[in-house]
Amino acid sequence: MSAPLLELRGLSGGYPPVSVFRGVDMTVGNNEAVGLFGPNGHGKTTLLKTVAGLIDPRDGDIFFAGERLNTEGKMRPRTSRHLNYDLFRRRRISAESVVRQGLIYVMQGNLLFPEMTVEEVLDIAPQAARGRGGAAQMRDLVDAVFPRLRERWHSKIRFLSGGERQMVSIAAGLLALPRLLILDEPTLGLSPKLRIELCEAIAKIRAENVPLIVVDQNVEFLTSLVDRLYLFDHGAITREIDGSAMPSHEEVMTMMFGEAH
Amino acid sequence: MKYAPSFQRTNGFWPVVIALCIAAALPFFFTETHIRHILILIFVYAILASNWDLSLGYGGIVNFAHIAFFAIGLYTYGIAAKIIGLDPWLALLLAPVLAIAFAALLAIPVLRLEGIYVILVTIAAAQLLFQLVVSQGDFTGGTSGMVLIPRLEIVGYRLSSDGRIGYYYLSLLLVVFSTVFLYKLERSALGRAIKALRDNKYYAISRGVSEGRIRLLTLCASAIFPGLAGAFYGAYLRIASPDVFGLGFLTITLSILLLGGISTIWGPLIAAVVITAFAEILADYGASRSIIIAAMIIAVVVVYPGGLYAAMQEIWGLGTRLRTNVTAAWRRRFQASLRQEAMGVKDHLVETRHGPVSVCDTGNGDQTIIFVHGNSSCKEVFRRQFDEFAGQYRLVTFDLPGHGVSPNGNPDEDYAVEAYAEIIRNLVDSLDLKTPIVFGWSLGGYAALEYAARGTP
Amino acid sequence: MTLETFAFLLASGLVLGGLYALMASGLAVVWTTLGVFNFAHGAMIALGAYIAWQVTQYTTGGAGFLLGAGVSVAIMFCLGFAMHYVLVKPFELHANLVLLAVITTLAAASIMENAILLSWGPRDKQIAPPFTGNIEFLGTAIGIHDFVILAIALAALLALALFLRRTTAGRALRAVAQNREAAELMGFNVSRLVAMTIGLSAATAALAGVFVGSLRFISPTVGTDPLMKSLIVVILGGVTRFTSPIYAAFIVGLAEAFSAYFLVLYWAPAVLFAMMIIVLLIKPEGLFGRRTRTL
Repeated sequence: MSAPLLELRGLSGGYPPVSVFRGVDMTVGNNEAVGLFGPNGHGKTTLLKTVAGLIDPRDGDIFFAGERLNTEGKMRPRTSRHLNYDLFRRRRISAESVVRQGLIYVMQGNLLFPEMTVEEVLDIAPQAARGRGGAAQMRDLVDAVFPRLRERWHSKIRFLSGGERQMVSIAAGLLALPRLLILDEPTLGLSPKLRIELCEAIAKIRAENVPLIVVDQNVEFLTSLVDRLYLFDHGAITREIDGSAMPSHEEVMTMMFGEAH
Repeated sequence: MKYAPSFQRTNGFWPVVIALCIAAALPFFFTETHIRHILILIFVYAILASNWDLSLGYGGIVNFAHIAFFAIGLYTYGIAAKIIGLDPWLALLLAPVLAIAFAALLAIPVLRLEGIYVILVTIAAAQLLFQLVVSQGDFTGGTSGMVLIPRLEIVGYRLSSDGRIGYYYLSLLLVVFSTVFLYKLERSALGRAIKALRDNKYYAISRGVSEGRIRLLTLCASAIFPGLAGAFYGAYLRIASPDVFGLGFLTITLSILLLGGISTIWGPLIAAVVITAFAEILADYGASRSIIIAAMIIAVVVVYPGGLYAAMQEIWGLGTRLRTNVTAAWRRRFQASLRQEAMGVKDHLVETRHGPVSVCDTGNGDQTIIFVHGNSSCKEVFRRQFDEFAGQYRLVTFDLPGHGVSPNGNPDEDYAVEAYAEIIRNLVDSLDLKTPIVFGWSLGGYAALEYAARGTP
Repeated sequence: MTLETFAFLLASGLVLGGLYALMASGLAVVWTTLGVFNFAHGAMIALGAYIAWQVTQYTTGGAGFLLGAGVSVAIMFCLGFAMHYVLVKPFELHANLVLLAVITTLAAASIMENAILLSWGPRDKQIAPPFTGNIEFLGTAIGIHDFVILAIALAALLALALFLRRTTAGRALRAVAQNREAAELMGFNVSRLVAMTIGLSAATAALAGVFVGSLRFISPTVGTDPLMKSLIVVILGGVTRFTSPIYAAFIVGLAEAFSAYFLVLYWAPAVLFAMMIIVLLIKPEGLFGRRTRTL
């Protein structure tokens, strides 16, 4: 098997001095969709933000398409509480370069840019993908998957519903020509109707062979979409489930919380 | 209810006593009036900055009209003593009253606003006051200010003709009163309410802290001593000029506050001495002096935003860490036999993810018992257990990081129950302890529970 | 009041309004992007004026004036760009950002003012107004220079607005102002964009400085009064949209011109500050603003 698209090796991180996740090993293969499932508040989002380059990892490495995204070594512990470390410490990872590599993270509950119109947001979105081909096809895909956006083309983001905002977020992610798209709780807080619409849209995106990492609280949706599922609990991956034996909601709950959940 | 120890029993008691003695003795060493003048200025800045900290640091109200309290004190004294002809001492007492009244007025808009709007409205209020002062030339002397304001006298004794000794002690007295006031206030129920409101406004309100009342009290309390200091300043220099409203004066006071460290009482006092003295050393450089001082302020704020007082505490902490580390190393090296006598076995250092810890291990037996000691204790508390169980079990105990003869840990990572559990796990792995019984006492009990909760056998 | 006086006051109020709009929009752009109030803005106005004055010492006339303005704007843009990396970026993530930025920008203002004092001395200077002559306006003679200033100021504001709304780079700047994390996730170099914002703000300050320098005498502290006026403007207008401080600037400019005529000269600023406090009490987000800060 060729080298995986994304590989996390012993990744630890959090908001210093608090460590949120420890020793995470995870891989995403080429053309693979991977699910991440776990209780809220246990560090999934922090892990993904670290992979996306928003937070410096404390220890461990992130490899994407064979290249290391972070600088080598581990974060040195702080010895002074007041010294301005931001001044001396080099960022171990930068979101800018991660996005340029094609690793696109679509934030959970993203408010985006409230005073900009859909058109303006989608105009600046492809900036990260400068110099790479395929922009036109991607625009067609976005139009096909999210026909609703054309109707709201000149509306400001703050007038959109939560679901429409999520669509703009994902569309903006797609226009950056992702080699791997990370969707963090895309259906969080949506009405059932919009949720179904969005799930269908994500399935369509998956049908175009876009590699994905999806976090969601709905096991049925996840298992129907992904090839592999990671269970995440207390800041660490507790189990990896292969595509051949996708479990039901009940089975996952039992795996995570025991019989008496 | 009392939570904080009385001042006599804190670490700060002797330094403050010594500083006070030095301050009281200084005028006898510096007989030049110029140096005494500088010292008086230091006291004035110290009062301004430390009281500003009450609203800005403790209260979280970024009040840029703080200097206006001082200006009100100054002009109140000037107008009352010179134009109305009030007794100077009465005028001196009237000044803080008016400053408080202005603070109460200021509270009305401040209460309704948040964040940067507070900065803006307080700047506007100070500017409004400035414009009023400048426009009322008949009373205030307009842009050129007031001169020949009456001085203070104590039963016929003129405070200005003694080489500034009288004014020196008066200002020292003001600083002492102001500091005692702030210290008492910070430790009172009101002080706690002020800080609670700053740290978590909605939680504090839900616990019954009245936001409006506390904010109002914060502003008024922070106006008392600046008002007094303003009046004192007027009596001392005998002039009142609208320059006190300028950005320059505000910049210096704010620098003293930020360089000293916000939310500390002593920081601004120390910074007042350091910055004023530094400015005095550079007095001959004219315009470049301001550039050097401004550049220095930027450098400090950028590199070490905590301020001088935090730096002093950290250096003190470093010293303590170094001292305890050296003691622990010395005890490991030279007093090993003492401990061997107590425990029956020699201890040695074992490397873990949280640094090396000192371990006692009897080494033989199938079933292991690990003993984990409590807070501020050490592994030798288990010597009787070691005597008792030595034949039946393999006994292991260790000093937690920073305890006993183990070296100090990193405060951010190593002093936590999770870290202790990880240490136990590391020891189990590296000493090959298989499935141990973990016995924890007090804090060690929490560590043992955490170790069990991690599901490791 | 005769029609002539009215016309004169109207014209001077409009010119003042144009100046204030230029200054306030510079302040507002930084504020909306960083949430930081730039106290060095006044000193930037002064520095911009002095740089332009220096250029007009070598080249005179209309060409010198325009060249001076151009050089000043370019230098101040670079200075503003650099200022971000020294004064704001090092503690961007610090909890006390607003307070620390207040002190660093105040210190920067002190550095600039004293640097001006060292390089150009305390004597007042004036940039020679290149366009002399008057035109007739409702019966009074108004200087052409005033009209040129108003026109350039409005053109600069229009250009800035178009840049922010229509170009991708400008939209990226607005994106950073509205949601920094999301902008980072779009692959933008947020630090550089923020630095550019401060650069743009410094450039508008320089332009305003050149105009102030050609209308009045310039001294190292010439920026303090305009800074306070821009503050009033920004508060009256609110900063939620780029256009809101501009309306407010003209209101303040006209109010200042007319109140100086009707009231005692000294009272005019006091009236403005009182107005500002009342607006803050009744409508803290400004007359034309909304509560959220966006660009």
